[in-house]
Amino acid sequence: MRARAWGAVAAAVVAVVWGGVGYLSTRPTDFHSYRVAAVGSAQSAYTGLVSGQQASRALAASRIPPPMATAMLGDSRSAIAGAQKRLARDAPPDERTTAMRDELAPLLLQADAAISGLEDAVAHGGAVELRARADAADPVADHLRRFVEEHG
Amino acid sequence: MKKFLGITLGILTAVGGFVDIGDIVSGSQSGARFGIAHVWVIVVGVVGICVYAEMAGRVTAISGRPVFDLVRERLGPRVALVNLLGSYAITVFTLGAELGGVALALQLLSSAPYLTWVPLVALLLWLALWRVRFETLERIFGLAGLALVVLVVGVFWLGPDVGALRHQALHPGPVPGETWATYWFFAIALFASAMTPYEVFFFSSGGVEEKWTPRDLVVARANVFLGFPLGGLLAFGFMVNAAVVYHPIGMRVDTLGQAVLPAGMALGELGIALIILGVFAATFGAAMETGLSAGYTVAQFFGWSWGKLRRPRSAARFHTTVLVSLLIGVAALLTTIDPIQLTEYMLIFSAVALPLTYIPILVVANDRHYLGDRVNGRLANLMGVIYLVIVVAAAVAAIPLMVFTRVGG
Repeated sequence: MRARAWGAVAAAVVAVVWGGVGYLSTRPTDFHSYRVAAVGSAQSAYTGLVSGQQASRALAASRIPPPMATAMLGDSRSAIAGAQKRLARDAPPDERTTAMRDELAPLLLQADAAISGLEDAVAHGGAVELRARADAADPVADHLRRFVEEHG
Repeated sequence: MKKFLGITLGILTAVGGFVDIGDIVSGSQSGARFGIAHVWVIVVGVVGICVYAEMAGRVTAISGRPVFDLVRERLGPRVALVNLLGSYAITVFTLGAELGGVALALQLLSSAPYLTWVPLVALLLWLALWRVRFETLERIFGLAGLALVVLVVGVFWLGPDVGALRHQALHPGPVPGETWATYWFFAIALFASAMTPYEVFFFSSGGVEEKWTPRDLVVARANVFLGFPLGGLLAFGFMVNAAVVYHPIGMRVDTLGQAVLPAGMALGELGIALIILGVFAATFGAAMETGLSAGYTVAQFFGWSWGKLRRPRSAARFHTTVLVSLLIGVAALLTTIDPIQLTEYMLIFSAVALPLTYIPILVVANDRHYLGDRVNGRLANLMGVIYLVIVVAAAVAAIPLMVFTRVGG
């Protein structure tokens, strides 16, 4: 009897968890969930981009070794790629979220391009070029931060 | 001299155990998002681990047996099995996270992807656990881990806004843009990182390996009351650096590189070299402790011969368990899960498992059959009960907060 009761409890827990996961994974995207995803993407891209800028500036000032800057830029690239993937996962459900996507998607492309430029400068350029490319990415970083603050 | 050397066990436990990948990740993330508004959690965590590690050390020094062994004997195999399953699972995933931390540190030095380092680190760890003497490991990683002090020193070079830091420390709570849910989520992660179950099991079993007797009680207490607060100070270093560098610009910490970069900004390449050495030592030391703890708990539950000091042939099942645990940790990492994410999940599930570890310790520490007149006094019991309430509250809230905040947002 005791084993049967435990079995019933376990089956009920499995059913509730299964149902919950099923509901969450098939629920259509609404404004709130899209906004959360978009802000999360922008935050990841912002962190990745600024981290890449900081690593580049630190390398230009000889404060970190080149392998560390290369590794950090690789992490930045992964963060921005992850942000792009997250944004593309769901279609925007209404006009407001479509406007959000139209604002954010180009920013993510620019952030990716900025990191590519910094990687090139680490591989082939000098300290001056590295600083210049890091500074050139400031407007994109500022825009991403504004996006997070506005919609977050 | 022997007592002085004995304290190195505490330093190793503190640096490799208190400051591990969990503290690095949770401290840095919390500092970037909330400034030092969670500093009180570090204090609460340090006091909590001191309370329970003192009990575990006393139990070991008086009875000559490790805590887990007594838990099984005192509470029976069923309760001990639940304890074993919970703590073993958490310990093995912690081992995976620590291995990931070591590999990430090596990635920063070499720029080679961390996954290429994982098998090599695991092999090195296995060889160290297999061949190198306990005292040698203690001294190497205990002392190298102290390089993390560079973070605490370096923060003064970063020109911190002392007024802002004081405001954050004195006004705990979410900053603009954050919610109470995320604030408490990170508080629980920080608390769990301070009170990770393997710390007490390693501390207690290490005491048995070092053959503590009642005469060593002073050393055990010195280990606890010097080692763990020192570890807490180093963990605070990660938080305050992230608070100074990242919090004002709204940046988060998602990678180990971001966590250690402030040391380079403050002290240049020397600072970076020291901080990476410290991270390597702390995470490798913690990987060593978690690997041994996994073996200790399983072997003590089943009553097998165990111990790092025993020749592998005379404790074959213990050494096999350590090796299998290591392979599980490596397999978890080779799924390509991000070690930082693995750490975040490990901390939350660790919070859930905390009562399984600490309730039995409190019970055993009050048993005159094992401790005679050295059972808990009123203060130890008062603190123990207060911390049990905190631990249970953290365990109950951990999963709902994880779901609600989507793992901290």
